Amino acid sequence: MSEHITHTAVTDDGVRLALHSPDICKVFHGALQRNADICRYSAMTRSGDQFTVKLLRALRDQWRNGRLDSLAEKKLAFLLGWRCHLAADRTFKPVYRILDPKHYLKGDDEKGEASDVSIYHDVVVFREVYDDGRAEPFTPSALDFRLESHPASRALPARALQRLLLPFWQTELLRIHSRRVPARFQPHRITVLRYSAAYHTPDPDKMRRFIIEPNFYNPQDPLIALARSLQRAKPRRDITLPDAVAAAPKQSQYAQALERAYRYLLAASDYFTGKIDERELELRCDVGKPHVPAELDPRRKKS
Amino acid sequence: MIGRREFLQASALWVSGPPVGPSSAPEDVSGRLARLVFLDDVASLSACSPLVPSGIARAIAIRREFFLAGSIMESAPPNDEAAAIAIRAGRAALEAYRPLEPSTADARIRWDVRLLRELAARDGAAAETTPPRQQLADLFETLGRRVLIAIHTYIPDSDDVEGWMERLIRLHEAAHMYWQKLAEAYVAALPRKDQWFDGSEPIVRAAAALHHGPLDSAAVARALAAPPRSAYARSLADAHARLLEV
Repeated sequence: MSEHITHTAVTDDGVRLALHSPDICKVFHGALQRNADICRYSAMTRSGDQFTVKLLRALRDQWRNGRLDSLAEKKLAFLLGWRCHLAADRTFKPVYRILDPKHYLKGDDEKGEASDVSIYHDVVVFREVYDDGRAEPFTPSALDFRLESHPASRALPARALQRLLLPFWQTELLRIHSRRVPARFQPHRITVLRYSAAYHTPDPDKMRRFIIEPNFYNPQDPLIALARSLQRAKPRRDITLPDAVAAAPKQSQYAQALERAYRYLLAASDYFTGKIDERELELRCDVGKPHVPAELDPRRKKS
Repeated sequence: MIGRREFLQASALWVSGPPVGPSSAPEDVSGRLARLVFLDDVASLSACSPLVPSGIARAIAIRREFFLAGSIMESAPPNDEAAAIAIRAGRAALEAYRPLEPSTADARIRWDVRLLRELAARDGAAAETTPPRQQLADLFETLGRRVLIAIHTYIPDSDDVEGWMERLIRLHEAAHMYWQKLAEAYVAALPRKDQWFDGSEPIVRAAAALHHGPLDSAAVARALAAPPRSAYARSLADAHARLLEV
């Protein structure tokens, strides 16, 4: 599993590239421009392969019979963010298992704490993509130990609120389910203090093993450079999107995730406008393809 | 009107049957923080109460998340007796809270703020230097973002994924509004004592202190024995009494 900040970043950058691309249809442009927040919700939603194609088909049919209303546009943005989530998962899940195999000896870590690899990825993305929290949707205090750098932390009961906000979200997220059963209860998966430690006092050896040597993030990669320039509203005219996309599979891991996200969005756009059929869409979006190759999954390796 | 004994018997059965209706649109989440402040105080009292059976106190401590969400859980995880007890205890405690919950959204926001101001006083936060509204709202949003990191990924509703998408979108919109309103009300509010809340009452002080460490059992017993005056203290005492029979 890749983590919240990386998922959000791959989605944000995927959306930026899609908005920059003349090959992505205008309906998508409109939905993405008006609903960046909603893409971020689905950027952290699991099980996307199960639902996105079917829901995209329904929205396409609705669009063909008229225009998409505001709610339908929000749903479309949600689905597109969901595809970006899958792009991050398909890129980084194998990476975690290669770099930290001991953490995955029993297979997936769905019920356990995250690997340090994913936490180091997230703090690097926080620094590089979100300018140490100065860029939306994060804030510079987000990875504090105790919100100590936030200007309101002395006036509000920050310590008590930290204790209460988790159950607030757990309860409200359960409330919106049709069955409020334990399997739908959002567990506390990752201690944020691990993020604080990795961000404020990074372990040099983990930085070397998880970030530098595997080439996790290279700001010089054209696709990343283009995304950063779009984020600053100063698009690089010297970088063409098709060339940057073509080069990315041999560049940093983050560039590979962006290439995959863009590819999924382009396939969804082509399907929406009738250029390809559903089978082709599934093929180009890797629907049904395992996130982790068999040789990296101890459960499938044994069988 | 259901009596307390009947309520407790009914609440014992709820874990095997849904106490709630179908999922609802989260148009308004006002009052949710105040509920959690109360339940959190009940949990801290139960941990050191000489009267609450140790099995119940333990269940609330180790399955705190289910105690706090107990009012809407349809069932406990299989083979997890502590979770089942925590859920029943959470429902019992919330029933004691009902008289405190205002009936309008605006009043619930003011009540939220009232209790947040109390928590700030307990934390030693600077009451005299209230930051601008937007900074306060930003702190809530930042805390929310940290929660999203902690829960990692949303679990979608596979029985009704499209409806769930709509409800999730509305929940985020409702939460965003909630933080804005809380911040606005917080700037305007001042801590005070009245018939609804008095932070100096023994049972309230004991609950507050127990969040940060143990008190000797005699001190807790004295706090529990002191007649509650404010509505909040009465509900705390009522919730504590209900826990004895979960």
